[in-house]
Amino acid sequence: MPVAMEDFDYVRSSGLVDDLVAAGLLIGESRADKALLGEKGADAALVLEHPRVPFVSYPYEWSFAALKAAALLHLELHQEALRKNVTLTDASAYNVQFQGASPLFIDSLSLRRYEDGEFWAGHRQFCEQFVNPLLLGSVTGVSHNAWFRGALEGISANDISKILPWRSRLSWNTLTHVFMQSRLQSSSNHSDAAVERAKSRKLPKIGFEQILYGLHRWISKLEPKKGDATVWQDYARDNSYVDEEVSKKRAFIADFVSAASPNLLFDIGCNTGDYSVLALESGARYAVGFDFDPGALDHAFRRARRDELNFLSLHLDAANPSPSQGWMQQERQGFAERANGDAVIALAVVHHLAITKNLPLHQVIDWIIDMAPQGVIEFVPKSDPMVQRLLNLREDIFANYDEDSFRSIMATRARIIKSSVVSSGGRTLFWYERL
Amino acid sequence: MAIQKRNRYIAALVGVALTSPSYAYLDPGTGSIILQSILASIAVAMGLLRFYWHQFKAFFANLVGSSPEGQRDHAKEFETDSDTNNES
Repeated sequence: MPVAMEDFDYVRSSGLVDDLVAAGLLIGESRADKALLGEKGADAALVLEHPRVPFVSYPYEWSFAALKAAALLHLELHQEALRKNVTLTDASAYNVQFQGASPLFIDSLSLRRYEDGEFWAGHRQFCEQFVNPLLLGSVTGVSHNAWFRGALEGISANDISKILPWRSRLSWNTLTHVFMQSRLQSSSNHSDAAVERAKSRKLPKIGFEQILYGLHRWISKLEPKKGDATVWQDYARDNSYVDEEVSKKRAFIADFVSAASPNLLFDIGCNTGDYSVLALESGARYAVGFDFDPGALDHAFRRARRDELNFLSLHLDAANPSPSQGWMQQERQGFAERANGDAVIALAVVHHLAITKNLPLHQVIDWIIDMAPQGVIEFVPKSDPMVQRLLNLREDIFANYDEDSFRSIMATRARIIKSSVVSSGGRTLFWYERL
Repeated sequence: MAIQKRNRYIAALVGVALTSPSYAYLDPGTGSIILQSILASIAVAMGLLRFYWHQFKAFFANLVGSSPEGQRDHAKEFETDSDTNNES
């Protein structure tokens, strides 16, 4: 019997998998017919089927709050597993996905029998993929997204220890898990004797449990460093809309969503998630919001968690979305490969891409329309105070940026079902169906 | 031929004997292993310290004749910890 199969049976017979699935920590599984996989399934000891995750996301797209929730899930699941003499082969952040704002462990095959005295093999990986990126946000106030996206395995102890200020050594946990680990690693790097000694060591189970417990207690207290309010967090009260205009806009979106009744809706430029929440209330089954502002994303994530919404908020720089990357550039899918929704709303986005980022208007429209067969795009004309502000300090090189051009570009890709002017500045919403 | 076969057989046995059930799916890193030993020693030392501190307090509490109730509870608390440890 293959080792993996022994572990599989051991873990299932312990009752752990059922308990974890029932508690909502682990994705469900059922045995499926091998024939489902065709030739690929011929050599498999067994084939498992899991429920589909609504939208696959990666740690470099998560907010601080989401990464923290995933870290705590990892630890809780491992603590629960150890009680049944089961441990995890690794501590990869990519083994966590989200259902709304609830993290879910998806790699049930990484659960295996615990051998007395063994070390936590995933400790270093846990630090690189959870602890160090969280410390970056919590101690320095820099969000982890760009770094993590560039380094798929996370942030090494050696790298983060060069960046954290000296005073962070005053924290026992930072001192040990970051600074000591980094020092011990580099001092043992070229020493075979150290490796031999490490191999002969044993970790008593109570020590293992204490390390998990200590990390859980520490991480649950980590918060992003407080700084100035980020740009878009204040958007809700600082935009050029008045209340009456907001209700017009909301009514339009609600109409669209209830007619479209999408299973999966994308909200590009979701800010703190007002329109995603409205979409869920209007009949969308699942909403994924994208924004680049860490403060807004954190806020949106906490809101979804508090209200148990089917809403996931993710980091996206629309002008530079997540690429397909990793091994053979196929390990992690790019945004375009995953962006297949039933509906999309792109409110107050187009002008930022077309004017701030100098992107051709027709490409911006194409990019949005490609995401879903139907949607709502907001066009913000030059007369709007926000666009005025964008053009304040720069030359207006956007001769063709007007509603007529917008309409004629839209006409080549979509049928406009309905449009409505929603602000005195001339902001207009376009409800369309892709041709 | 026969010798060769037996050698192969022994080699296979040695292979089995030397293959400890270590699951090197991932390189844990020597730094992490040494750190874990240190953290575990500290955790165990703290546990012992707590245990003896409770014993110490209980001893004096007995001298002044206060209830031995708390003493039993504390002893039990540490027993549970070490029991879990032994089971593993």
